[in-house]
Amino acid sequence: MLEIKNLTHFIGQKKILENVNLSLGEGSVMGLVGINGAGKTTLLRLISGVYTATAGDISCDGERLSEEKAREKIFFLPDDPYYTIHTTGRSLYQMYKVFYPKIDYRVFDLYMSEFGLDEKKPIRNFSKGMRRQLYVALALAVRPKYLLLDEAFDGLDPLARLAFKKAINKAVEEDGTGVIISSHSLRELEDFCDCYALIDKMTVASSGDIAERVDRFCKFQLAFVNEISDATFASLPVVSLERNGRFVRIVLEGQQAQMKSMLEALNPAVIEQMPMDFEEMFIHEVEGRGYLK
Amino acid sequence: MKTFGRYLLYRLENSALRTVIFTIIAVVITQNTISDCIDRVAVEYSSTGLYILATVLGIICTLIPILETTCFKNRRNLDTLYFFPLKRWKMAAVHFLSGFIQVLVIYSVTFFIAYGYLAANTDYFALGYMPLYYLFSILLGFVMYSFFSFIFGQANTVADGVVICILWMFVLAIVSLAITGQILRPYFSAKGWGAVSDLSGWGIAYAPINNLTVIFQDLIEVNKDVVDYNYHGSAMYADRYISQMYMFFVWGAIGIASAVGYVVAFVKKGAEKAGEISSSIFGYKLLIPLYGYSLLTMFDSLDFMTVLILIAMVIGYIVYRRSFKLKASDLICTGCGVIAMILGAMF
Repeated sequence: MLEIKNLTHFIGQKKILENVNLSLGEGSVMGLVGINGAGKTTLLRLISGVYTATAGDISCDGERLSEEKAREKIFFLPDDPYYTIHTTGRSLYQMYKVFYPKIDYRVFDLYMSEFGLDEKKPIRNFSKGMRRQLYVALALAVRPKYLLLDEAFDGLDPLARLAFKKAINKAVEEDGTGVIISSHSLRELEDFCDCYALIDKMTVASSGDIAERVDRFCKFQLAFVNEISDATFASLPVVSLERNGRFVRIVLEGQQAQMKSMLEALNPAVIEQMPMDFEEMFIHEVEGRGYLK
Repeated sequence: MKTFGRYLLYRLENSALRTVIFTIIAVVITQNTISDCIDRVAVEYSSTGLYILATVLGIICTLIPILETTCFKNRRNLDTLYFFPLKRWKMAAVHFLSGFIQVLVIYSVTFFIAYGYLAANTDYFALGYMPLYYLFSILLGFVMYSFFSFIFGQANTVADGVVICILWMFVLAIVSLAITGQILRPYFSAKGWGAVSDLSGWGIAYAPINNLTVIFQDLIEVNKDVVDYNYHGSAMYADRYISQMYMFFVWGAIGIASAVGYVVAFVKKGAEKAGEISSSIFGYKLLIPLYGYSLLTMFDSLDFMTVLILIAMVIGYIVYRRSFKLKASDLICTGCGVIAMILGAMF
């Protein structure tokens, strides 16, 4: 279990994170979401040991993160990972072998072939997506217990995304790898993650099971015969409301059946329930927190 | 083998090409210089050309720490390097050791080729002192290497690191010159205590190796009575440096403190600082006033040079802050210089 307790971090005089509490079990995939500058990357850097927390504890299977043994279980793939003009896939493999002697060359080679990458070519000639695939191949070859991925889908084409997700899923299923993945591609995260943590105002503003969270919201499209106003819906737990004349698109927080019956009580001519996804939930969540208004 | 050892080997393997290139350059330059020094028409004008070995050592002890730790000035690199399962102090120690081993290899190869060449081509030098010179120069090489490792480590960018290293090369000499010339000398004179020994020559970061070389050049060349004493004029300096032998110990202490300081600063410095303004106390914050005030004390009256020094201080702060918007502390510091300048002109 990767556990973060009461984590607070300052960069210079500026508080970036405050009292963050989070845990990740083996085989669990967590989507780390938040607006730009919320502190997602800082949190990943703290968990990986790149930054040292100003206060609070991070432990990995009961061992403090400052211990080398604990850090051996973690692999961090940053948004823009390290390479020099001479770096090749092979040389990176050799560098990682220094720190992870059990790195499996067969796994590395397998994924390099699967991604169509040549380990002898300098990676400066690779696109961002190709570089990311190379690091994923390394991460999977290391077989970490916890994998931290920053802006994971950035720069990947649809095929590469598919291959990437397949590879990560395999690690989760076969090795029980716990994954924290930060991304703005919330639709990708929804397919991929079983839980989420929303970073806002320097802390974990909400977290939990994605499906459960999405189920707490319901979206409807309504059409009325008579003129209506926003006040019509005042008694409902409205998360968002778009009104265009007599047509309304509304998102409510509550159980679907109960919400539907409340809306039916308003006598709409048409009522249609629409699917709600994680991205919409995120947008409503951040709107509710005063953003995007 | 543990991660520490594996990483050290990895670093050495990775820097092997650089070590070979530096060694070849050092050997070629040293051999050319030494062959010029001994291929004189008259034997009495021959010299060992030891200073070229000191120069090589000085250059590599400045360059290698910079090259070895440049990767820590880039946040992107730190994202990878710092998540590796190796304690921060061990990572610092690996880079320090790896760099110093490179220095040892480059210098040792250059030295022993030069020694062999001298032994094969001359019979009028007291070359028996050479191994002793080698041992002492290695110790002073360690001092220089530690010093520049520590100083470069204070900066958050490579450019700041290079500038701060250059500034530190001379700052102790300038401060010493100012203190001796403006405070101690007049005070000693007023008290009738006699002359103050000028130690400013020891303030330059390369002074210990230079002074050691002068001493050994004297031992190796002059003791054989074949070299024109006045031609080199080194005996006079050698005597002075022998009388100030304690300064080698002062620099030794600086070297040890720098090595410890390098590791401590490396561990304490957060990855967040990479690429940011270099605000270490051993950086611009200290160097600008030290240079400014020391230089200002050397000019008694309000003239063009003093104004130039103040302008240089302001430029220094602009470089430090990377902005024309200076902080109150910068302005106060420069302001104190202006007040001192006006007071100096008045009285």
